[in-house]
Amino acid sequence: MSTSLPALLVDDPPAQRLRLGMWVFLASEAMFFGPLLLAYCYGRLVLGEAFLAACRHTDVVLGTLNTALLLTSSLAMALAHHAAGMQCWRACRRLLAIVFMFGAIFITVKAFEYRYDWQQGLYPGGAAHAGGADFFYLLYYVLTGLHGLHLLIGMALVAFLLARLRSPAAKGRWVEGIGLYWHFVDLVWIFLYPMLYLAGRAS
Amino acid sequence: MTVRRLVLVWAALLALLILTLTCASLPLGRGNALLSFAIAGCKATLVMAYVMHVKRSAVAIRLAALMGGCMLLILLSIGLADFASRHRYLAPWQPPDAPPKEALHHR
Repeated sequence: MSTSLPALLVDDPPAQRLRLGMWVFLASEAMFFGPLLLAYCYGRLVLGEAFLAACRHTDVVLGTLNTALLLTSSLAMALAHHAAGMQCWRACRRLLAIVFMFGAIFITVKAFEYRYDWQQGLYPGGAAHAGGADFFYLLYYVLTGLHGLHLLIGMALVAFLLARLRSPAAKGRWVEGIGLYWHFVDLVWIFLYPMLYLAGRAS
Repeated sequence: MTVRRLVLVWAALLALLILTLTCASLPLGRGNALLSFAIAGCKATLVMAYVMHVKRSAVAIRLAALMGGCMLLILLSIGLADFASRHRYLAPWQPPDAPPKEALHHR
């Protein structure tokens, strides 16, 4: 029940409204990624081997590193939410700063990865690819780009939280709301990782 | 207590990450895709249940979370059913003897 959320956390009607509103928003965000997931399933099922062969060229080391970074940032965000519930604002601020830092490292790694991909000719119409590979790289850039955009928005929200919010009650609510958004970005990456980095590795 | 549980969930997520990375290079054929998406599903469940507190949330929150997933699955199934049946039930603009796979390769 909502009454047994982390100890002492504000669970007044504004917090409940924010929580439900955030979940409905996240459900609509999932629909936003839906057509791209459908395009991926189409490529995987119809284009077959050429699509999978393109997938083998993505950098699995950087992809795995980024997955670990995002999972850890989610832990920091959950701990910040917990600290807010315990009214430990110093700890909460530090944890939010760590979340922001992990987000920044993720984006930096992704930027290096894009540069590396570009140098390898891994983009639609780049090197001598079959039709399936072009389609894969198009999806790769749109999916990771859209995810990166969400992450940047998440980082901006965390920065806003660190800089502006003064009232503890409002801060507690917003740590939870922005935390939910951050975890959603992590959830999306959990599925992008096997789609873009692991597919076709065995063959 | 909550902190310990969160750290345990994080450790489990990292363990699943290593597991899925290891399994990706085993030659399992179609099993690779099934396994990697099953592990991703486990990771997503862990994140939603414990990190996003769905497990301890009110029914309305659980319904909102469930609705998102269900709608996505329904829409993906409808979309894929269309592609799966294209070679049998042709769209008006499709030439009768060119299944969609061929059409895409000749682009």
